[in-house]
Amino acid sequence: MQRPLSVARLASPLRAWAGRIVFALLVATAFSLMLLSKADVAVIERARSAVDDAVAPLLDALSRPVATVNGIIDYAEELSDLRAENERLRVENDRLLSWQARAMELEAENKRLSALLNFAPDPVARSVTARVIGDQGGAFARSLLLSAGGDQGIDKGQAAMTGEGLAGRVVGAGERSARVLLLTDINSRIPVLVGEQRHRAMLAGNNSPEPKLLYLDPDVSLAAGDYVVTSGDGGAFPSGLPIGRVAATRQGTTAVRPFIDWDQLEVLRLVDYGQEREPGPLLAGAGRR
Amino acid sequence: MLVTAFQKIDRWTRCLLPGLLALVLLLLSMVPVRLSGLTAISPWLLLILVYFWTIHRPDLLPAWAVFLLGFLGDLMGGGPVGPGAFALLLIYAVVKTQRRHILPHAFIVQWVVFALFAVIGEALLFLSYLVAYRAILPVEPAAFQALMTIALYPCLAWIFVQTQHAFLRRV
Repeated sequence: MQRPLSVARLASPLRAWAGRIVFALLVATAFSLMLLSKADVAVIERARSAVDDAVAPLLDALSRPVATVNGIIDYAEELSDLRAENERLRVENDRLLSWQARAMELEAENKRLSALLNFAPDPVARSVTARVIGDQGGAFARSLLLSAGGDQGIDKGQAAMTGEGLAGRVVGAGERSARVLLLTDINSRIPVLVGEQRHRAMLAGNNSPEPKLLYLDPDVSLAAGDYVVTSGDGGAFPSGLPIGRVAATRQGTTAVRPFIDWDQLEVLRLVDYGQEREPGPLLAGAGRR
Repeated sequence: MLVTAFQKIDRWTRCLLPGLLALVLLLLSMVPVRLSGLTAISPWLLLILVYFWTIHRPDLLPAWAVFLLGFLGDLMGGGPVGPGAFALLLIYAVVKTQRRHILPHAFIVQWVVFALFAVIGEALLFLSYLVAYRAILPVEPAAFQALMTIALYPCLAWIFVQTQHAFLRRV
Protein backbone atom coordinates (compact mmCIF):
# COMPACT_ATOMS: atom_id res chain seq x y z
CA MET A 1 0.00 0.00 0.00
CA GLN A 2 1.35 3.42 -0.98
CA ARG A 3 0.76 6.29 1.39
CA PRO A 4 1.73 9.95 1.06
CA LEU A 5 5.26 10.35 2.32
CA SER A 6 4.51 13.01 4.93
CA VAL A 7 1.91 10.83 6.66
CA ALA A 8 4.28 7.87 6.69
CA ARG A 9 7.07 10.02 8.07
CA LEU A 10 4.84 11.21 10.88
CA ALA A 11 3.12 7.90 11.53
CA SER A 12 6.14 5.67 12.03
CA PRO A 13 7.71 7.50 15.03
CA LEU A 14 4.24 7.87 16.53
CA ARG A 15 3.68 4.16 16.16
CA ALA A 16 7.06 3.44 17.71
CA TRP A 17 6.20 5.65 20.69
CA ALA A 18 2.79 4.04 21.08
CA GLY A 19 4.51 0.65 21.00
CA ARG A 20 6.92 1.71 23.72
CA ILE A 21 4.12 3.02 25.94
CA VAL A 22 2.13 -0.20 25.49
CA PHE A 23 5.23 -2.22 26.34
CA ALA A 24 5.90 -0.18 29.50
CA LEU A 25 2.27 -0.63 30.56
CA LEU A 26 2.46 -4.38 30.01
CA VAL A 27 5.66 -4.69 32.05
CA ALA A 28 4.15 -2.55 34.82
CA THR A 29 1.00 -4.73 34.83
CA ALA A 30 3.04 -7.93 35.04
CA PHE A 31 5.10 -6.49 37.88
CA SER A 32 2.07 -5.34 39.86
CA LEU A 33 0.41 -8.73 39.40
CA MET A 34 3.59 -10.25 40.81
CA LEU A 35 3.50 -8.00 43.87
CA LEU A 36 -0.20 -8.72 44.40
CA SER A 37 0.18 -12.47 44.21
CA LYS A 38 0.61 -12.88 47.98
CA ALA A 39 -2.92 -11.59 48.50
CA ASP A 40 -5.44 -13.98 46.98
CA VAL A 41 -7.05 -11.70 44.45
CA ALA A 42 -10.53 -13.00 43.64
CA VAL A 43 -10.36 -11.97 39.98
CA ILE A 44 -7.13 -13.90 39.45
CA GLU A 45 -8.56 -16.97 41.19
CA ARG A 46 -11.66 -16.81 38.99
CA ALA A 47 -9.52 -16.39 35.87
CA ARG A 48 -7.47 -19.41 36.91
CA SER A 49 -10.57 -21.53 37.45
CA ALA A 50 -11.96 -20.43 34.07
CA VAL A 51 -8.71 -21.33 32.29
CA ASP A 52 -8.53 -24.65 34.16
CA ASP A 53 -12.12 -25.46 33.18
CA ALA A 54 -11.38 -24.59 29.56
CA VAL A 55 -8.26 -26.76 29.28
CA ALA A 56 -9.52 -29.64 31.46
CA PRO A 57 -11.32 -31.57 28.65
CA LEU A 58 -8.29 -31.18 26.34
CA LEU A 59 -5.84 -32.24 29.02
CA ASP A 60 -8.12 -35.10 29.99
CA ALA A 61 -7.96 -36.38 26.40
CA LEU A 62 -4.21 -35.75 26.13
CA SER A 63 -3.35 -37.43 29.41
CA ARG A 64 -5.22 -40.65 28.58
CA PRO A 65 -2.71 -41.99 26.01
CA VAL A 66 0.12 -41.15 28.42
CA ALA A 67 -1.69 -43.04 31.18
CA THR A 68 -2.22 -45.96 28.81
CA VAL A 69 1.46 -46.12 27.88
CA ASN A 70 2.38 -45.95 31.55
CA GLY A 71 -0.08 -48.75 32.21
CA ILE A 72 1.48 -50.92 29.50
CA ILE A 73 4.99 -50.32 30.88
CA ASP A 74 3.79 -51.19 34.38
CA TYR A 75 2.08 -54.32 33.03
CA ALA A 76 5.25 -55.51 31.30
CA GLU A 77 7.27 -54.89 34.45
CA GLU A 78 4.72 -56.79 36.54
CA LEU A 79 4.72 -59.79 34.20
CA SER A 80 8.44 -60.27 34.62
CA ASP A 81 8.27 -60.82 38.37
CA LEU A 82 4.81 -62.20 38.85
CA ARG A 83 5.94 -65.17 40.91
CA ALA A 84 8.01 -63.18 43.39
CA GLU A 85 5.20 -60.63 43.67
CA ASN A 86 2.68 -63.37 44.37
CA GLU A 87 4.84 -64.81 47.14
CA ARG A 88 5.37 -61.37 48.65
CA LEU A 89 1.64 -60.67 48.59
CA ARG A 90 0.86 -64.02 50.24
CA VAL A 91 3.17 -63.18 53.12
CA GLU A 92 1.82 -59.65 53.35
CA ASN A 93 -1.75 -60.95 53.31
CA ASP A 94 -1.05 -63.21 56.27
CA ARG A 95 0.48 -60.32 58.13
CA LEU A 96 -2.40 -57.96 57.27
CA LEU A 97 -5.01 -60.52 58.32
CA SER A 98 -3.53 -60.62 61.80
CA TRP A 99 -3.49 -56.81 61.80
CA GLN A 100 -7.13 -56.79 60.71
CA ALA A 101 -8.10 -58.95 63.67
CA ARG A 102 -6.16 -56.61 65.94
CA ALA A 103 -7.81 -53.54 64.34
CA MET A 104 -11.30 -54.99 64.85
CA GLU A 105 -10.50 -55.66 68.49
CA LEU A 106 -9.24 -52.11 68.92
CA GLU A 107 -12.22 -50.65 67.11
CA ALA A 108 -14.60 -52.48 69.43
CA GLU A 109 -12.63 -51.30 72.42
CA ASN A 110 -12.53 -47.75 71.03
CA LYS A 111 -16.32 -47.76 70.58
CA ARG A 112 -16.83 -48.99 74.14
CA LEU A 113 -14.51 -46.36 75.59
CA SER A 114 -15.93 -43.59 73.40
CA ALA A 115 -19.41 -44.47 74.63
CA LEU A 116 -18.14 -44.32 78.22
CA LEU A 117 -16.67 -40.86 77.61
CA ASN A 118 -19.65 -39.53 75.67
CA PHE A 119 -17.20 -38.66 72.86
CA ALA A 120 -18.52 -36.74 69.82
CA PRO A 121 -17.16 -38.54 66.76
CA ASP A 122 -15.80 -36.69 63.73
CA PRO A 123 -18.42 -36.24 61.03
CA VAL A 124 -18.39 -39.00 58.42
CA ALA A 125 -16.18 -38.03 55.50
CA ARG A 126 -17.41 -37.99 51.90
CA SER A 127 -14.90 -38.55 49.16
CA VAL A 128 -14.57 -38.04 45.41
CA THR A 129 -11.90 -39.68 43.29
CA ALA A 130 -10.36 -37.67 40.45
CA ARG A 131 -7.72 -38.27 37.84
CA VAL A 132 -4.60 -36.09 37.66
CA ILE A 133 -4.74 -34.47 34.21
CA GLY A 134 -2.27 -31.63 34.58
CA ASP A 135 1.13 -31.38 36.18
CA GLN A 136 3.04 -28.30 35.15
CA GLY A 137 6.24 -29.61 36.68
CA GLY A 138 7.50 -26.07 36.98
CA ALA A 139 10.62 -25.18 38.88
CA PHE A 140 8.74 -22.70 41.06
CA ALA A 141 5.40 -24.21 42.08
CA ARG A 142 4.04 -27.63 42.94
CA SER A 143 0.42 -28.07 41.99
CA LEU A 144 -1.78 -30.49 40.08
CA LEU A 145 -4.88 -30.15 37.96
CA LEU A 146 -7.67 -32.70 38.50
CA SER A 147 -10.41 -33.97 36.21
CA ALA A 148 -13.28 -33.23 38.60
CA GLY A 149 -14.54 -29.98 40.08
CA GLY A 150 -17.41 -28.23 41.78
CA ASP A 151 -19.95 -30.24 39.77
CA GLN A 152 -18.67 -33.39 41.47
CA GLY A 153 -18.68 -31.82 44.91
CA ILE A 154 -15.05 -30.76 45.10
CA ASP A 155 -14.48 -27.58 47.04
CA LYS A 156 -11.65 -25.42 48.33
CA GLY A 157 -9.95 -26.75 51.45
CA GLN A 158 -10.58 -30.46 50.91
CA ALA A 159 -7.77 -32.91 51.60
CA ALA A 160 -6.18 -34.64 48.60
CA MET A 161 -5.13 -38.16 49.57
CA THR A 162 -3.74 -41.31 48.05
CA GLY A 163 -3.66 -44.71 49.70
CA GLU A 164 -0.23 -43.78 51.05
CA GLY A 165 -1.11 -40.53 52.73
CA LEU A 166 -1.83 -36.84 52.35
CA ALA A 167 -0.74 -35.23 49.06
CA GLY A 168 -2.02 -31.68 49.53
CA ARG A 169 -5.19 -29.66 49.59
CA VAL A 170 -7.61 -28.20 47.08
CA VAL A 171 -6.88 -24.51 46.56
CA GLY A 172 -9.31 -23.82 43.76
CA ALA A 173 -12.23 -25.54 42.11
CA GLY A 174 -13.90 -24.74 38.83
CA GLU A 175 -16.94 -26.53 37.47
CA ARG A 176 -15.10 -29.52 36.03
CA SER A 177 -11.54 -29.04 37.25
CA ALA A 178 -9.81 -28.51 40.54
CA ARG A 179 -6.34 -27.48 41.56
CA VAL A 180 -4.40 -29.18 44.33
CA LEU A 181 -1.52 -27.46 46.09
CA LEU A 182 0.93 -30.22 46.98
CA LEU A 183 2.38 -30.23 50.47
CA THR A 184 5.84 -29.71 48.96
CA ASP A 185 4.85 -26.33 47.46
CA ILE A 186 6.48 -23.30 49.03
CA ASN A 187 3.04 -21.87 49.91
CA SER A 188 1.85 -25.02 51.68
CA ARG A 189 1.51 -24.90 55.49
CA ILE A 190 -0.01 -27.85 57.34
CA PRO A 191 -0.27 -28.14 61.12
CA VAL A 192 1.17 -31.51 62.16
CA LEU A 193 1.96 -33.75 65.10
CA VAL A 194 5.36 -35.43 65.18
CA GLY A 195 6.50 -38.62 66.86
CA GLU A 196 4.97 -40.67 69.62
CA GLN A 197 5.02 -37.65 71.94
CA ARG A 198 2.84 -35.82 69.40
CA HIS A 199 4.90 -32.61 69.33
CA ARG A 200 3.12 -29.81 67.51
CA ALA A 201 4.77 -28.24 64.46
CA MET A 202 3.99 -26.70 61.09
CA LEU A 203 4.92 -28.62 57.96
CA ALA A 204 6.14 -26.03 55.45
CA GLY A 205 6.83 -26.87 51.82
CA ASN A 206 9.89 -25.41 50.13
CA ASN A 207 9.52 -26.70 46.55
CA SER A 208 11.93 -29.54 47.33
CA PRO A 209 10.75 -33.15 47.77
CA GLU A 210 11.32 -32.88 51.52
CA PRO A 211 9.27 -30.21 53.32
CA LYS A 212 10.51 -28.88 56.65
CA LEU A 213 9.10 -28.59 60.15
CA LEU A 214 8.64 -25.07 61.51
CA TYR A 215 7.81 -23.78 65.00
CA LEU A 216 9.01 -26.97 66.63
CA ASP A 217 9.85 -26.67 70.32
CA PRO A 218 13.69 -26.34 70.33
CA ASP A 219 14.01 -28.73 73.28
CA VAL A 220 12.30 -31.53 71.42
CA SER A 221 14.57 -34.23 70.07
CA LEU A 222 13.29 -36.14 67.09
CA ALA A 223 14.64 -39.31 65.57
CA ALA A 224 14.75 -40.15 61.90
CA GLY A 225 11.72 -42.27 61.12
CA ASP A 226 9.31 -40.55 63.52
CA TYR A 227 5.78 -40.40 62.14
CA VAL A 228 4.30 -37.11 60.98
CA VAL A 229 0.49 -36.82 60.88
CA THR A 230 -1.96 -33.92 60.55
CA SER A 231 -2.88 -32.31 63.84
CA GLY A 232 -6.28 -30.99 62.82
CA ASP A 233 -5.43 -27.54 64.20
CA GLY A 234 -7.10 -24.81 62.22
CA GLY A 235 -9.93 -27.12 61.28
CA ALA A 236 -9.02 -27.71 57.65
CA PHE A 237 -8.17 -31.39 58.08
CA PRO A 238 -9.08 -33.91 60.75
CA SER A 239 -6.23 -35.03 62.96
CA GLY A 240 -4.26 -38.17 62.22
CA LEU A 241 -4.02 -38.20 58.41
CA PRO A 242 -0.65 -39.81 57.60
CA ILE A 243 1.91 -37.53 55.92
CA GLY A 244 5.38 -39.02 56.20
CA ARG A 245 8.39 -39.68 58.39
CA VAL A 246 11.14 -37.48 59.73
CA ALA A 247 14.03 -37.87 57.27
CA ALA A 248 16.89 -36.03 58.90
CA THR A 249 17.68 -33.17 61.23
CA ARG A 250 20.36 -30.83 59.97
CA GLN A 251 21.44 -27.50 61.47
CA GLY A 252 18.29 -27.19 63.49
CA THR A 253 15.91 -27.83 60.60
CA THR A 254 14.00 -31.05 60.36
CA ALA A 255 13.13 -32.44 56.95
CA VAL A 256 10.16 -34.74 56.41
CA ARG A 257 9.94 -37.38 53.70
CA PRO A 258 6.29 -37.75 52.62
CA PHE A 259 4.87 -41.25 52.08
CA ILE A 260 3.62 -40.24 48.64
CA ASP A 261 5.48 -41.37 45.55
CA TRP A 262 5.29 -38.13 43.54
CA ASP A 263 6.09 -39.92 40.28
CA GLN A 264 3.07 -42.19 40.58
CA LEU A 265 0.30 -39.69 41.26
CA GLU A 266 -2.41 -40.74 38.82
CA VAL A 267 -5.52 -40.64 40.94
CA LEU A 268 -6.29 -38.60 44.04
CA ARG A 269 -9.07 -39.06 46.55
CA LEU A 270 -10.53 -35.73 47.67
CA VAL A 271 -11.96 -36.04 51.10
CA ASP A 272 -14.50 -33.59 52.45
CA TYR A 273 -14.38 -33.76 56.22
CA GLY A 274 -16.96 -31.01 56.31
CA GLN A 275 -15.09 -29.30 59.09
CA GLU A 276 -15.13 -25.81 57.68
CA ARG A 277 -18.83 -25.52 56.99
CA GLU A 278 -20.00 -27.67 59.89
CA PRO A 279 -17.91 -26.84 62.91
CA GLY A 280 -18.13 -29.51 65.58
CA PRO A 281 -19.94 -28.85 68.85
CA LEU A 282 -17.99 -26.86 71.39
CA LEU A 283 -18.83 -29.29 74.18
CA ALA A 284 -18.50 -32.99 73.61
CA GLY A 285 -21.92 -34.55 73.63
CA ALA A 286 -23.75 -31.23 73.27
CA GLY A 287 -24.30 -31.61 69.54
CA ARG A 288 -25.27 -35.27 69.37
CA ARG A 289 -27.65 -36.11 66.57
CA MET B 1 -4.73 -7.51 -6.88
CA LEU B 2 -8.10 -8.75 -5.82
CA VAL B 3 -8.14 -9.60 -2.14
CA THR B 4 -11.15 -11.73 -1.40
CA ALA B 5 -12.61 -12.31 2.04
CA PHE B 6 -11.34 -15.85 1.96
CA GLN B 7 -7.78 -14.72 1.32
CA LYS B 8 -8.04 -12.31 4.22
CA ILE B 9 -9.23 -15.06 6.57
CA ASP B 10 -6.47 -17.31 5.29
CA ARG B 11 -3.85 -14.67 5.98
CA TRP B 12 -5.21 -13.96 9.44
CA THR B 13 -5.15 -17.62 10.41
CA ARG B 14 -1.57 -17.90 9.23
CA CYS B 15 -0.60 -14.82 11.25
CA LEU B 16 -2.11 -16.43 14.34
CA LEU B 17 0.15 -19.47 13.96
CA PRO B 18 2.85 -18.52 16.53
CA GLY B 19 0.13 -17.84 19.10
CA LEU B 20 -1.64 -21.12 18.34
CA LEU B 21 1.66 -22.99 18.59
CA ALA B 22 2.23 -21.36 21.97
CA LEU B 23 -1.16 -22.56 23.20
CA VAL B 24 -0.39 -26.11 22.05
CA LEU B 25 2.98 -25.95 23.85
CA LEU B 26 1.33 -24.69 27.03
CA LEU B 27 -1.11 -27.61 26.92
CA LEU B 28 1.61 -30.16 26.20
CA SER B 29 3.73 -28.89 29.07
CA MET B 30 0.78 -29.61 31.41
CA VAL B 31 0.38 -33.27 30.42
CA PRO B 32 1.55 -35.38 33.34
CA VAL B 33 4.40 -37.65 32.24
CA ARG B 34 5.07 -40.19 34.93
CA LEU B 35 8.57 -41.32 34.03
CA SER B 36 10.38 -41.34 37.32
CA GLY B 37 12.88 -38.53 37.65
CA LEU B 38 11.70 -36.68 34.56
CA THR B 39 8.56 -35.32 36.18
CA ALA B 40 10.24 -32.90 38.50
CA ILE B 41 11.22 -30.07 36.20
CA SER B 42 9.87 -29.39 32.73
CA PRO B 43 11.53 -26.99 30.27
CA TRP B 44 10.33 -23.41 29.76
CA LEU B 45 8.82 -23.94 26.32
CA LEU B 46 7.42 -20.41 26.04
CA LEU B 47 10.91 -18.91 26.20
CA ILE B 48 11.99 -20.98 23.19
CA LEU B 49 8.91 -19.87 21.29
CA VAL B 50 9.31 -16.20 22.15
CA TYR B 51 13.02 -16.21 21.22
CA PHE B 52 12.49 -18.01 17.91
CA TRP B 53 9.57 -15.96 16.66
CA THR B 54 11.01 -12.64 17.86
CA ILE B 55 14.09 -13.33 15.75
CA HIS B 56 12.30 -14.70 12.70
CA ARG B 57 8.91 -13.00 12.60
CA PRO B 58 8.55 -10.30 15.26
CA ASP B 59 5.56 -8.93 13.34
CA LEU B 60 3.61 -12.06 14.26
CA LEU B 61 4.41 -11.84 17.96
CA PRO B 62 3.50 -8.42 19.39
CA ALA B 63 4.31 -7.49 23.00
CA TRP B 64 0.70 -7.93 24.15
CA ALA B 65 0.70 -11.49 22.82
CA VAL B 66 3.89 -12.23 24.78
CA PHE B 67 2.23 -10.78 27.89
CA LEU B 68 -0.93 -12.84 27.37
CA LEU B 69 1.02 -16.05 26.84
CA GLY B 70 3.14 -15.44 29.93
CA PHE B 71 0.02 -14.62 31.94
CA LEU B 72 -1.70 -17.79 30.72
CA GLY B 73 1.38 -19.87 31.50
CA ASP B 74 1.47 -18.44 35.03
CA LEU B 75 -2.23 -19.18 35.55
CA MET B 76 -1.87 -22.75 34.31
CA GLY B 77 1.28 -23.30 36.36
CA GLY B 78 -0.69 -22.84 39.56
CA GLY B 79 1.84 -20.52 41.20
CA PRO B 80 1.85 -16.74 41.49
CA VAL B 81 0.69 -14.79 38.45
CA GLY B 82 3.08 -12.30 36.88
CA PRO B 83 6.64 -13.65 37.07
CA GLY B 84 6.44 -15.55 33.78
CA ALA B 85 4.85 -12.64 31.93
CA PHE B 86 7.38 -10.17 33.39
CA ALA B 87 10.47 -12.23 32.54
CA LEU B 88 9.20 -13.10 29.05
CA LEU B 89 8.45 -9.44 28.23
CA LEU B 90 11.94 -8.29 29.25
CA ILE B 91 13.64 -11.06 27.27
CA TYR B 92 11.37 -10.27 24.31
CA ALA B 93 12.38 -6.61 24.36
CA VAL B 94 16.10 -7.39 24.44
CA VAL B 95 15.93 -10.08 21.75
CA LYS B 96 13.92 -7.73 19.53
CA THR B 97 16.64 -5.05 19.64
CA GLN B 98 19.33 -7.67 18.92
CA ARG B 99 17.54 -9.69 16.24
CA ARG B 100 19.38 -8.09 13.34
CA HIS B 101 22.67 -9.29 14.81
CA ILE B 102 21.39 -12.80 15.55
CA LEU B 103 19.34 -13.56 12.43
CA PRO B 104 22.12 -13.74 9.78
CA HIS B 105 24.13 -16.28 11.76
CA ALA B 106 24.12 -20.04 11.45
CA PHE B 107 21.79 -22.15 13.56
CA ILE B 108 24.50 -23.15 16.00
CA VAL B 109 25.29 -19.50 16.78
CA GLN B 110 21.59 -18.77 17.27
CA TRP B 111 21.48 -21.70 19.67
CA VAL B 112 24.48 -20.43 21.67
CA VAL B 113 22.90 -16.98 21.89
CA PHE B 114 19.67 -18.66 22.98
CA ALA B 115 21.56 -20.46 25.74
CA LEU B 116 22.73 -17.07 26.99
CA PHE B 117 19.17 -15.71 26.92
CA ALA B 118 17.88 -18.87 28.62
CA VAL B 119 20.28 -18.36 31.53
CA ILE B 120 19.39 -14.66 31.80
CA GLY B 121 15.67 -15.42 31.45
CA GLU B 122 15.76 -18.13 34.08
CA ALA B 123 17.65 -15.82 36.44
CA LEU B 124 15.01 -13.12 35.84
CA LEU B 125 12.26 -15.66 36.46
CA PHE B 126 13.96 -16.80 39.65
CA LEU B 127 14.25 -13.23 40.93
CA SER B 128 10.63 -12.53 39.97
CA TYR B 129 9.49 -15.53 42.00
CA LEU B 130 11.56 -14.31 44.95
CA VAL B 131 9.62 -11.04 44.76
CA ALA B 132 6.29 -12.85 44.36
CA TYR B 133 6.83 -15.34 47.20
CA ARG B 134 8.98 -13.04 49.38
CA ALA B 135 10.86 -16.19 50.36
CA ILE B 136 14.11 -17.95 49.54
CA LEU B 137 13.77 -20.60 46.85
CA PRO B 138 16.07 -23.50 46.00
CA VAL B 139 18.29 -22.63 43.01
CA GLU B 140 18.75 -26.16 41.63
CA PRO B 141 15.30 -26.51 39.97
CA ALA B 142 15.78 -23.20 38.14
CA ALA B 143 19.26 -24.19 36.95
CA PHE B 144 17.95 -27.57 35.85
CA GLN B 145 15.03 -25.95 34.01
CA ALA B 146 17.45 -23.64 32.15
CA LEU B 147 19.51 -26.66 31.04
CA MET B 148 16.40 -28.56 29.91
CA THR B 149 15.21 -25.50 27.97
CA ILE B 150 18.57 -25.09 26.22
CA ALA B 151 18.68 -28.80 25.36
CA LEU B 152 15.19 -28.74 23.85
CA TYR B 153 15.79 -25.67 21.67
CA PRO B 154 16.97 -27.47 18.49
CA CYS B 155 13.99 -29.80 18.53
CA LEU B 156 11.37 -27.05 18.86
CA ALA B 157 13.25 -24.72 16.51
CA TRP B 158 13.13 -27.44 13.85
CA ILE B 159 9.35 -27.70 14.23
CA PHE B 160 9.03 -23.90 14.03
CA VAL B 161 11.19 -23.75 10.90
CA GLN B 162 9.00 -26.41 9.25
CA THR B 163 5.87 -24.48 10.23
CA GLN B 164 7.34 -21.30 8.83
CA HIS B 165 8.21 -22.98 5.52
CA ALA B 166 4.85 -24.65 5.21
CA PHE B 167 2.52 -21.81 6.15
CA LEU B 168 4.28 -18.48 6.39
CA ARG B 169 6.32 -18.18 3.20
CA ARG B 170 4.16 -15.57 1.57
CA VAL B 171 2.54 -14.04 4.62
